[in-house]
Amino acid sequence: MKILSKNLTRRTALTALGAGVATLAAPPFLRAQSAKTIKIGYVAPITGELSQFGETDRYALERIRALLAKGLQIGGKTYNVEILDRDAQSNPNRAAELAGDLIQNKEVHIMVPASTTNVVNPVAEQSELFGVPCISSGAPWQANILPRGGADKAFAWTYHFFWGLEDIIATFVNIWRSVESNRKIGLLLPRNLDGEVWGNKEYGLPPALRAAGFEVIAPSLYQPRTNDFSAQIAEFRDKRCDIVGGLVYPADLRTFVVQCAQQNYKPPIMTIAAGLLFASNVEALGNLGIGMSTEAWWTPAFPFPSSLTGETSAKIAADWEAKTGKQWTQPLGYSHANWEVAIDTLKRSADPLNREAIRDSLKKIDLQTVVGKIKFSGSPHANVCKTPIVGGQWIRGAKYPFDLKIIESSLWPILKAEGKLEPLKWGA
Amino acid sequence: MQWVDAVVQGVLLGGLYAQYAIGMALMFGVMRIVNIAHGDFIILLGLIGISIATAWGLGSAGLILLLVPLGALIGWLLQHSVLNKVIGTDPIPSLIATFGLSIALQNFMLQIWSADTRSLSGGTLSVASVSLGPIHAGVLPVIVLACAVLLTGGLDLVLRYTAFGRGLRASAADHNAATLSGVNTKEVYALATAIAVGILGMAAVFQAMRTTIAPPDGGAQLIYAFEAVIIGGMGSIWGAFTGSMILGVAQVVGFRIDPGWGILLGHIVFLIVLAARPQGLMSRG
Repeated sequence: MKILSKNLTRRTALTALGAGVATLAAPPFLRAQSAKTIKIGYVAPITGELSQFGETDRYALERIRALLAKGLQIGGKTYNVEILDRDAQSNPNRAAELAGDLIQNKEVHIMVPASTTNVVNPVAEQSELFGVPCISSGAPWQANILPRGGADKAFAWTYHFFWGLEDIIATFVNIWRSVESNRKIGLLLPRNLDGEVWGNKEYGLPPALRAAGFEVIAPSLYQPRTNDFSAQIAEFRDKRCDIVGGLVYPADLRTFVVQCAQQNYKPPIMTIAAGLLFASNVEALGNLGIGMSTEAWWTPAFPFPSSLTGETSAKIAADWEAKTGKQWTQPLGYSHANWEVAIDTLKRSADPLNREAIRDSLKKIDLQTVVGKIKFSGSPHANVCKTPIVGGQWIRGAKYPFDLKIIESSLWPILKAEGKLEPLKWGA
Repeated sequence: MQWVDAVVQGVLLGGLYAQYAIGMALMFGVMRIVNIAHGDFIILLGLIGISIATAWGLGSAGLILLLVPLGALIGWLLQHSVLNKVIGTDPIPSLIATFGLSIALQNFMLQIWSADTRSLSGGTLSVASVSLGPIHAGVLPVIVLACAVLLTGGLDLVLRYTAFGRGLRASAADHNAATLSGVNTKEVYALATAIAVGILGMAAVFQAMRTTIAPPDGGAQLIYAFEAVIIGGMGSIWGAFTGSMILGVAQVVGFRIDPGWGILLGHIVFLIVLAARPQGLMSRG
């Protein structure tokens, strides 16, 4: 009995001592009792097959954490901001699981899924289900809205900013109209959700192209990771297509392009979505990559300064290149803009610890970010804001092996085209 | 003419599949080890090759000479340190071990090489072609096919006529009896895995010249290697080669019917063989 009581006393004493030490060791901002903490859930594709899109996310996050180290001033009060970042491993099931945990166990006030349909859709679904404001980007808006049943209804909690299929299609058509050709287009599209939407006979590429006066040769969709494209190449060659267009992933694109050269089919124009987004994809094509064209939704030439730091896009890209030693990539702009939108939303909200107040603030956002203006009105869907997209062509670079030259900006005249589309040289 | 072209392209594609399948024929067909990490080793060796090529400016032939022994070393270590410990009558432990290895390898490669897609420039070789009338064949696929034929022939002879080959076949047929007869089964298995992974050193270089590689890509071609081995017949190296040819031709002919049909037709042919002749076309059993 005596021993027990002695033990108890010692344990109590130790606990009290421990708590005292912890208080002293804590950083000053935690000791300030008045400061409350805003929790932001951040889910990104850091690893896995989509990790190229997530490459800039951690970098942007570190910069934001540094910026918010002293807390965030909202309505005269200072709040601590805690960003809970999670890696979805490019897996939609994992993204949904992480979002559920962040919402229910960590009680985040706002969700910021970084990019790609695989990540933003499941996170948005969880957010809609549990009533948490969610702001996403990095996927065509149709891909975010339509699979979640948003075709003819508005969502209460989830908002998305990016371009739409109609924009990329218009951009591609503008690129192809800008140069002389026989106006015959061979379309290469994958057998998956992306490919089916792009190839759709009512609202996809084929009707838009036919309306613009092009002849469309569209073999049926190819299986991603196909090892042989000789069937499509034979068809394009027989029909004498001057232009090859479509949506092709990097590995398939190299298989296709190398095989085109082997099969002696060398069209002067190739404009491909997705597979040519990153300079590393073009480097993988080697000399064959010179002159390939693609879409661009953020480049260092974008003219808007950051609403958070005042930096220009050129400065953001230069900092990235200096810190990482790697060339800028398009997701860098969105990795930054996501935080512009999230922080602005919190700043304007009546109560940044109340999910509904944050949602109401998000709904009313009117902010110029590095990727364009964010405002959820006057767009094709109540939860969507459309951001700019332009067309670019990969040319030999000065500092890095390849640079993206802007060749089309008539849809979004936010910046000047640097030149016209030049025909492909096929490594010559 | 279109169908002649399809068969030519199919045979060339089969040469590519044979490069994946020969090592598989040895491990899965002869030793009955299901190596899920087979594809990841191709990617690992390919990435090492690309790094070496960038650093030292080695050509593709030099890379193959370097990567094959490296692959053999990795295979030998793999068998000695992992697979020999889990091998037995039950195939599940080795399956689980290599499955775990596959995931670990992918994450390891992601740490070192990041998610970028990479490739090897074959220079003019990768885009060169020979033409026979209206039929064009890439020089690189022809080389790939020729290498596959040489490897298959060589490995078949080794299995038939050397002491190592006899030891391996004996170990696979009856582990205990082979041990009793004085065969050092562990060493024989380690050597066989070394050969299987060594061959991947060559496959990796061709893979990186033909398409791009990135850390998560390993699993993509695994199914074709398994199918080729099963079509051809477990235990037969020429069988795996024949299986690769059948798979390649079936796919390309399917692609000509409709681009969505090619891969499906390959799988259908595989299923037909499995139903009609489950022991495989060239199995001795």
